[in-house]
Amino acid sequence: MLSSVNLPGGIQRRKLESDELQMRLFFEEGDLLVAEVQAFFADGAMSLHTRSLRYGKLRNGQLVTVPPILIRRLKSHFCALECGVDAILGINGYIWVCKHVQESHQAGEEGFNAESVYSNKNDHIDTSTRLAIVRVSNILKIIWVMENGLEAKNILRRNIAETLVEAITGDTIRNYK
Amino acid sequence: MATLLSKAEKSYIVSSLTSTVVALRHDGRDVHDYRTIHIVTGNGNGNGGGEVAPLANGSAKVSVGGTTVVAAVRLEVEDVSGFQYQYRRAGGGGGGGGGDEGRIRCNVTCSPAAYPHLSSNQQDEIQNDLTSFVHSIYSSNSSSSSSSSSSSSNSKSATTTTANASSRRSFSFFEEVESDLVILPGRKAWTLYLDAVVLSDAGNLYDVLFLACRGALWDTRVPRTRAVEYQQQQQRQPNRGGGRGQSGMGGGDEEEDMWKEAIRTRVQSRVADFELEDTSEAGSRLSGREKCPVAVTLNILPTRHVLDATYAEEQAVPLKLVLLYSFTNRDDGGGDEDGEGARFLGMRLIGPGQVPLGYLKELLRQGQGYAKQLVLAMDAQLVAQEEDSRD
Repeated sequence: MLSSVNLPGGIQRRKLESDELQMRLFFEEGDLLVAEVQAFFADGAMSLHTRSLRYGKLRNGQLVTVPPILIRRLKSHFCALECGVDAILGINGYIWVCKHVQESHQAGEEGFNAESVYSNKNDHIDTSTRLAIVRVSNILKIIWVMENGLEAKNILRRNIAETLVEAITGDTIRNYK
Repeated sequence: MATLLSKAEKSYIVSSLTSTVVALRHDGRDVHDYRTIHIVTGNGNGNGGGEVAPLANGSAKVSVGGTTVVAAVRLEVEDVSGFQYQYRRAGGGGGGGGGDEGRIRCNVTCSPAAYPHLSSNQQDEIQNDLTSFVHSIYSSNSSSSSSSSSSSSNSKSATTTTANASSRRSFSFFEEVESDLVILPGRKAWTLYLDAVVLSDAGNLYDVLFLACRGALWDTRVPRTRAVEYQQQQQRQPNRGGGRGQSGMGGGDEEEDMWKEAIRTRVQSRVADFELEDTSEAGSRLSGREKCPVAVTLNILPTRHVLDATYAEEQAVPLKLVLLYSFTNRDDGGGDEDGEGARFLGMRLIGPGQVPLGYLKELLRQGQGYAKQLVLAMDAQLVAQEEDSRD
């Protein structure tokens, strides 16, 4: 069920019947999204809200899964790390590690590419960014493993974003080979 | 673990793998690197370190990434006097033997937790597919080696080809261990039941499955038996009935008996049985265990191939080639000589797409190298574990 649509041109409007029937042009099975959960229904269904164009389909990166308890409630779950990598921390434990989106390219700014809202195509990503994505993913898994070793009563809810920033800026990123 | 990937994720994986600069995977591995392989074999180790299935004759649990398979071997005594396996022995060339069909039985089941997103019908199909594949590799014989194709409901197609050389005997793992499984020749023998359970699947299931089976067979102890024969005593009838006995009994009758003994028309009944010499913890290993088959899966891209794919990589690169090898010489040194020690058992091409023949030949050649490395590493680990437990 669709309540409103952001069209590729950047316009937002109320839904039409045809939008719902052509939903697959926008979203397909298997697509990965970041959205806000507005409500749970009794039958287990959720209503999702993409409040701004920062939300929506995820591209240019890879997914890391950790147990949800490790993710702390933050003011903003969009973290821009210093190595050219963004991490989007879902409170369901899904963390999307992707190429950094420049501030000037985000929604509302002049560099924003409205055509790419529903796009499935990745941008070109160079090797150093890919390498940084791999390293961030590995660090997340290590943090998970470290947490696993603690006893139940000692589980600390660390701020993943802070830990990441420490780990990455504190670690010199060597040139590959 | 996500069950479906988005198009953007798949394209990210493929573009990373096909990068001309350096191929990067999700965790930074090289394209030909395996994840860490954890092998535990166990029963009756005594020190309790690593017990998988203590009541089985042999067992092993193998974990690679999130893929876990447990395999166990159970030996049961069976009456083989009805089987034609002796005919096969006499016959020589691996003709379609009816006997060994019942001598190694393989079965693969999947825990429902392994594929929670699939319906039970689809899980059954996977189980049957894996069972028939493992069974065809382990239990010989050339009559069951015709290529079989099976299609799953996901519209993947798999073609299984088992190596069947008409000029020489096709490999049969059963034949390698057959002599260890005999109790009373022609009468009683051990039947080997090999069962594997897939506990979870995070990619590269075939390799892990065959590693687990190999580990279980490596660990198997066959209880020692001793044949015992009882011979019935000759029945001498002292009274041959009233009429004959009286006259001319002396010498003539003894002569008659002697003749009767010389010509034995009545079959002597021997009660043949066996007894166990020791408890199952101290049995003997299978002598052909290093020849146990091993599988290598290569996920195929147009320009390169990938080993030990994770679940996500399998979704992004669905075309894969599973190769099976058996190695006889454990300490052959260089790569050149193992043409003699390596035996190609079969292959399976799964997924959409096609592979040009030249490329396929190259993959086969490289697959043998990978399988050899896998076997060497695994054997080293298993031998070390054995020696540890002996201390």
